[in-house]
Amino acid sequence: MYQEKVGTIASPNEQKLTNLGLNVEQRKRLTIGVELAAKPELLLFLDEPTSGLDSQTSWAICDLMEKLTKNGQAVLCTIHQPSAMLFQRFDRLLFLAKGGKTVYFGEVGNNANILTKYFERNGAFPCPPDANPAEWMLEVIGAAPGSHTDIDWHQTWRDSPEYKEVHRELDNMKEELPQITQPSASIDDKASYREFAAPFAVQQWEVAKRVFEQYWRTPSYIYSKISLCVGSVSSASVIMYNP
Amino acid sequence: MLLVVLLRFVFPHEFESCLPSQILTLYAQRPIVEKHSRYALYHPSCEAIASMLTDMPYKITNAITFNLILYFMVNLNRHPGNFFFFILISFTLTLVMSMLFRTIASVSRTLSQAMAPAAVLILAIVIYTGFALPVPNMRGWARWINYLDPVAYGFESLMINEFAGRVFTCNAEQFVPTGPGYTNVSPSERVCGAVGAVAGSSVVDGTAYIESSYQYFPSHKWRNFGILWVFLIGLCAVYLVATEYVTAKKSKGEVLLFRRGHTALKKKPSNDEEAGSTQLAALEKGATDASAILTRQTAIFHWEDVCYDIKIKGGERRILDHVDGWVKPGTLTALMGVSGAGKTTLLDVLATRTTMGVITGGMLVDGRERDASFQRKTGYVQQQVSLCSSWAAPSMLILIGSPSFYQHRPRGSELQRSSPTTGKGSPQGEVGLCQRSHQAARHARVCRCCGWCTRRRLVRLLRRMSKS
Repeated sequence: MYQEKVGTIASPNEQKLTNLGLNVEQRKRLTIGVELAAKPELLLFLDEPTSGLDSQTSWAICDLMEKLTKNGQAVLCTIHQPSAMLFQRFDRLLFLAKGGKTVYFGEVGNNANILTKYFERNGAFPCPPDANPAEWMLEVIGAAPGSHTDIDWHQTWRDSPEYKEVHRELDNMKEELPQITQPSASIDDKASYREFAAPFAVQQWEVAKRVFEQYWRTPSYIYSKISLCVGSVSSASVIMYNP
Repeated sequence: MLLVVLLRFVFPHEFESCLPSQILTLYAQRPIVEKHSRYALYHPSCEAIASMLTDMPYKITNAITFNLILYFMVNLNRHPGNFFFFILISFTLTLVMSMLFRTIASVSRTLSQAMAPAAVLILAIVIYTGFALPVPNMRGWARWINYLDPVAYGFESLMINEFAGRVFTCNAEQFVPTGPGYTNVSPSERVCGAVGAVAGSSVVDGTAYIESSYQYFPSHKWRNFGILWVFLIGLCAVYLVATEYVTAKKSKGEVLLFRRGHTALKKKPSNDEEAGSTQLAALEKGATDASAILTRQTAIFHWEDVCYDIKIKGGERRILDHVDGWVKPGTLTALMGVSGAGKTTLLDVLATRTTMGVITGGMLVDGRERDASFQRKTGYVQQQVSLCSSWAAPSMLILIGSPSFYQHRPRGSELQRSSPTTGKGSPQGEVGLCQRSHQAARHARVCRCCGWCTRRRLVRLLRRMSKS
């Protein structure tokens, strides 16, 4: 029964969510907030935070992400065909083609100029000034519907100076960072290597409290259980009643 | 009399095959059927008939295999006529029961509304079948339940089928009187110690047995079969009509249960809670002063030559091909790509949330290998919103950022991994991650297709107009 209960909570059930009464943006914000409440000190992953939202709400979500980064949070988020305005708000871009092959990793630049320059230099048709760089880019690599390319952009990337630069930077990081930074935790402190922050008893207590509260707040479930017990017991006693 | 006991096994089988599956499948497809009905694609009753027909092959196979084994294992009446009658009745009974639960499901509006009466009904049906509580023992005020019980009619027929016209010889030790001192009692001076026995006879008549202990009469054998058909047709009619007119309960629109500024009456919060709520207030404000809650990060997460291979249909498939990159604190990095390029997969690989496949390459934090605490030092906001409807936003945040967790580990907590609210432990998060995008796309296509079908007439009309 518990499993079933948890299942309904966890499933992104439309009906359940409408009862929640929060609008789409609020829900998205809350989901992000819930992750932030756990204080991710390293990185925040966001999977398509703007999909399914209108441009105004996705702008608001982007505002939130920008505020987070301004305060030193590292954010990595997947995004699906952003608008030109939205696209500019990203610092860096990792662009993948089919098969998980990297096409570009680097700065976006003001007005996406670093990005467009890279593609134009390698044989793409020039980005029209009024075009959305994100869409133009998809068209250039032949991923947009109706577009086609003769250039192997993955190979182009591997041969490019930018790629070599990225690898140089990665090697640098691998060598230098361990020397200039402290390990995140001392070797003796076993707790910091544990998978869960809280001990099992604390987890148990909090989750149990939560499930009880869950039951308390779904009276329909309690009522139906009570009525079932009362109904079956009384019908059985009427059947077997011996005056 | 052993075989009577074994007859009981027939009935659990009938219930098992009907109850949960019927109601649950009906409710699973109900929203779709209702949507299609609104699109004027087909009548819901049409779909109901189709689903009954679809059930038939399974039901027939099931009835034959199950009853064949049962009949001969229990060694019931070895006559072809009796065997086929047994199959006929038990199959009809299966149909009636399935129809009964279909009817319950279709006249109710929510699943819980359907399940509660079904549970009580099963209790009544089982008790009033007439075996556990034989007809002579039924209380007068509840006798009517027996008349409304389809299983009772089927059971009576099966009992008649088994016992009527058969003669059972009495075991030597069952005679009364028997034992020391009664060894030379003549057969005419003793009686068999079984119900329906006649004094002086060494055999028991099966017809007399079921008449006196269950009030079953051989003349009811085929009458009951007719009654079962009346049940079947009647319930079927109700079912079909109900599918047309009773619709599932629609969601009642958006109601904010926990409104901002409306706090429940409660005692003054203790210090601990206060600490939590200030943090919360900071969170609530979004990130107007995000610095209050976010500790400035310094660690750089970087990865190189990350490959991800999975086995699909025997062949290896490379989902990610030597991907390099890094995320520095204070930067917003976008991960873009065509659909199916592995954006979400890369995210999952980096967050170590994959459940299968082979990952190669280095994923490092400040040039060091990640440790077990990596997962709780990162946050993962899933695409689907998975929140709990009975929880206010603040309480969700409190749970995750609960001060009690911070007391133990000031770094933050990872309880959300085990908690369903955040969805980290939710089934969608873990199964079929790489296929999800495709499935979503397919789903969208199907939906669009449904829309088109109804618009086809419109399209045809437009075409005709354009021709003329």
